[in-house]
Amino acid sequence: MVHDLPAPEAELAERLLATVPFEQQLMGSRLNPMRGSVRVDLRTLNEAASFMETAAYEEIMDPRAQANIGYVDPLGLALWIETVFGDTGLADAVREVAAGAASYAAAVGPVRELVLGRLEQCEQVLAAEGATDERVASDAPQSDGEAG
Amino acid sequence: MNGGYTGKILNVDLTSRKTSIIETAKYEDWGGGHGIGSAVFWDLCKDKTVSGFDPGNVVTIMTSPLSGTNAPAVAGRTEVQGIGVQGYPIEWFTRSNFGGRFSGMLKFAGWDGIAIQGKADKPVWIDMRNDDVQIRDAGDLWGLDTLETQEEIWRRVTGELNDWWSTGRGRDNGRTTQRPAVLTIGPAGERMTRVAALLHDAGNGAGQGGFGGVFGSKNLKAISVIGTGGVKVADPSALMAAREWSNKYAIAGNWDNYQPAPFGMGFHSAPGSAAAAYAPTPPIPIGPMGCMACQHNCRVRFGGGQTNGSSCLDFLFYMWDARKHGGKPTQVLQDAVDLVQRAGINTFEMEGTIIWLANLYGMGLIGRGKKIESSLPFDQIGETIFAKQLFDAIVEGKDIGKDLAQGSARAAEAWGRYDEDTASGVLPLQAWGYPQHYDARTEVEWGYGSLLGERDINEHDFNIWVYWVPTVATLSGAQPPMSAEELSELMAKKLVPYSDPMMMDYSDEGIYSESMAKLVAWHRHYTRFYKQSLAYCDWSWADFYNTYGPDHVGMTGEGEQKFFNAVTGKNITFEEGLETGRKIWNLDRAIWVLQGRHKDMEFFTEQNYQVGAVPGFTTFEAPYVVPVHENGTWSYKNVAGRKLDKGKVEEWKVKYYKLEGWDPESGCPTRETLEKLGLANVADELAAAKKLPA
Amino acid sequence: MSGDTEGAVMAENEGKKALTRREFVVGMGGAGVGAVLGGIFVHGILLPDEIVALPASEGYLLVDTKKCAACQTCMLSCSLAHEGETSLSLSRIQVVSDPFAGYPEGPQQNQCRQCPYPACVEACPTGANHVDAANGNVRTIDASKCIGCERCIQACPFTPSRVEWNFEEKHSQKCDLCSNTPYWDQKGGPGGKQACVELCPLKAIAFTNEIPIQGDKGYFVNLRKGDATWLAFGFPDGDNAEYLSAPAAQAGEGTQ
Repeated sequence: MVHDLPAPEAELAERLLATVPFEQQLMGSRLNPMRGSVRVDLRTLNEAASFMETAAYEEIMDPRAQANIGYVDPLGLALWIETVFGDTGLADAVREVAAGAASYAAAVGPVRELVLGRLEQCEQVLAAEGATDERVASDAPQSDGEAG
Repeated sequence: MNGGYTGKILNVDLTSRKTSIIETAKYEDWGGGHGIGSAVFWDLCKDKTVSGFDPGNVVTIMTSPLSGTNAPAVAGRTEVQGIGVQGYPIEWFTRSNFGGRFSGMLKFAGWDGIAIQGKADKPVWIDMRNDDVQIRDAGDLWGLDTLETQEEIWRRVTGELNDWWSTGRGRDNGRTTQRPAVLTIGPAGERMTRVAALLHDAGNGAGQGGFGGVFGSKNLKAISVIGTGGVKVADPSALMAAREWSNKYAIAGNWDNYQPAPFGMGFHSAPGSAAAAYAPTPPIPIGPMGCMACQHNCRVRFGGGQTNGSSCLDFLFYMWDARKHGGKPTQVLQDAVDLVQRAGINTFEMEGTIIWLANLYGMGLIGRGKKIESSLPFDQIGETIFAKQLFDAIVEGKDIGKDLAQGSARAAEAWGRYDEDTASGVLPLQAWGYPQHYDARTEVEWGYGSLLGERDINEHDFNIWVYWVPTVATLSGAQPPMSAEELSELMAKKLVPYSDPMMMDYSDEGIYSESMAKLVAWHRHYTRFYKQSLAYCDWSWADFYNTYGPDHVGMTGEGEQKFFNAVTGKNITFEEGLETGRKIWNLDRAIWVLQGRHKDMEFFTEQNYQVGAVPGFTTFEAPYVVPVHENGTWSYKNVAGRKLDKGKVEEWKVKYYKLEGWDPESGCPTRETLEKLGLANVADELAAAKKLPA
Repeated sequence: MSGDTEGAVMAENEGKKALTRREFVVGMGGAGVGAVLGGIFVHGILLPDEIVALPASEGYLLVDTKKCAACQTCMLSCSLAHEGETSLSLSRIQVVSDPFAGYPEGPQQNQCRQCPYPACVEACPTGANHVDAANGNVRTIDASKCIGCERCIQACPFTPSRVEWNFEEKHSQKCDLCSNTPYWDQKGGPGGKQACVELCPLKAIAFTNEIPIQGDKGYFVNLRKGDATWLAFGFPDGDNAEYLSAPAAQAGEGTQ
């Protein structure tokens, strides 16, 4: 689906790869029945997309498996992309995928692929512009949970 | 013959260092544990409005008639009560409990419980060896951590011999091979913090209420008990048969047909299931560990022994470790848990505190040179160094620890942030100063129960089935074991006397309904009697749905009283137990009324009414899939993002009060209600205090 | 202990070294004997003073401390079935645990071994502590004959002693494999059920008709190996030199 999105302008590409301030972060939730819901602070799109995961019901319910649901509400993600990063096209694409998925599990893969694909597009745009020095966060270690 | 009770409760006055005996018989109608504890507190605590730190505060440590028997998932738990120091804004009379073997050992020593009042003039510990009780100097124990204290007391009482030990009163006083059971505080309790816990053996803690600080205020370091006796059982054959019967509902009775249960909790769950999720990466060997006579043995013993017996929030408060280290727990978590337990700090309180601190740091409000000055390494949250420095600060009263030792609610007040941060959810408190556990906006039985009481209820009876199972199933695209309709039918069978399937309706309408009032009432009465007075463990009971039960129907309604009747020789029905629970709940409510409770102060923090944004966007909200009955049909539905309507909550409170026979204007039990429950004396005391509704 | 036992066995085999019957019985009752006698179904043996030893028990309890959660269900069920009360002190199996010890250390399951050469029986001056032919030769105590001298308690070669003083009824008592359980409606003894085996939530106690192989620290028992349910819990089934699986031990691996 990402190929349907026109390549972003360099300015948008930089924004999509940037780390947002604390006040604009997206909160995800890591669910495991014996561990409760643990908030995860997401401050880059890469983090948010990479964090989304599911496992089989049986695995999640088995404490020994240490499996998690990495939950980011797809519509919340779309809103975040739209309002914080200003990428309406990507936001709509995420909404479209979410609307077509029967469950969160069904949405996770396509949404992740969509967002990571978009970030790859951004990298390419910036590489072409020779502006890679300016990018901030897409390759940075995941800062989820780091309060700073 | 009545069994289960030893017949006597130890009454300790630390001020005079005198002990006396309270006859249990006077209190037997309360069942045990919490019921007896509340009744004893009512009688002994002359001024129930004093601070928890006041010498006049009475702390009860109570067993159940099932303590020390082989009844499953009940025999090792101990109930602690008294005026707590954690509650906010009022230090409510409250409760906590802990597992292990302390209650069993108390029974073997011949005691149904302990009541402690007064304050020793210098640090002491109580040394109980059967009926020989000594109040000993604890000057040289003061300052030891919770593990060191226990090991030192073991050495002093029984030595390190791995042999039969006698009390020194001759062979006919009995012998034992066991270590004394020790309940102790750590440095956090000695410093009278409001976030201090009581610890016993490995991983057993009574954290809520801040009873560690209450012990500290009484100069009481520890209680050690060793007993050589037994628990007389009215019908031993029936008890043996009951235990064998219950095995059919447990893995032990289905060993060759093991089916992973759809959750790590519940009677049918696997050994280690409450702790295996926290085993570190890289892995270390783990084996099972359990409380006295448990069929579940939900905990684990770790290679190396660090964090043995810990579970759930013992670990969860520092899952920041996993956030920093690839999503899985590491050795950092082991170290942090070890540190917090040695210091004797309440991990539940720490969970909310660390979330709050991380938020304040993220907002640029705390740190060196910030509005809230602190030199703690906030950029190291998730590492051992932050945990250590935070706990040290709390224990030593340094840096922000001076305020955090008062609990996050009082610290927020001191920093002028309470209103703003509890309204936004940056400080995730739900009610009465307790950190949010499960969401009042979505899983209302949890929130309402906490609001009508005095603390986070921490009772997972419905939580598993109305939240976790449907949520995980829905998110992962699987079918839950029960449809929403089947769940409502099962609960209608189990939740006598109401038997109302609409009690499972968590829809936007259902959460304000009369049926929801019934669900909350059932839950309050069930837990007050069966879980807190008989001490059935929250990790195994209630048993609604059971993997191995006939048609997957669990034992609740049949099992609880079966064990109680076999042990005591009484013949109560399940519903009679619920009625005793109602009586206990009303007595507790009366105590709170004396302390100042009124309808007009029973509110959640503002975030519950104001914040209902898109899940995961501006607030900490998980997906919350619950059973709903809408347009005549049952289904599971994600209600995350819902906020509570304050007006409707107020209307619901009145429905609840009326159901309980409480005054709709004040929320106080009426004389008529109290007298029906045999509590005319309670009504009299309320009237004397001008608190009884007209 | 193992040195003494090896000496004793050597003496028996070679018929040379002089040994009192008392020394022999104590030595053979203790740890190490099974390493030599394991797998042999012994009914009697000629002792140095030419007195025929007692017939072997037809049943034994096996324990695996690496499976034990130290919940003490076994102890409370034992005393309940036998005495009608739940009492750690009156349990005929004694589980002790250091809660702070790291896995696999921590729990000890001190069960009566039903020794082939029972020092407790030997020590009893009245015949109260005897081999019960009616119940599979289990070593047990006739309370009516017990005079309370406690010699059997002192004679047990294990620590803590597997024979204990019933301070309520004033007599010694020990594991009878549930031959006599007034408060349990099940047939017990070597041919029946044992309360501790039946109710152990971890299956950390098992029953066998054959004399187990034992070493200084216990039987060579691994109840974890091949237990699919145990493995499903995520717990290890690995061995070390002290706790070999029975087949491996019989093959001579790990023995002295």
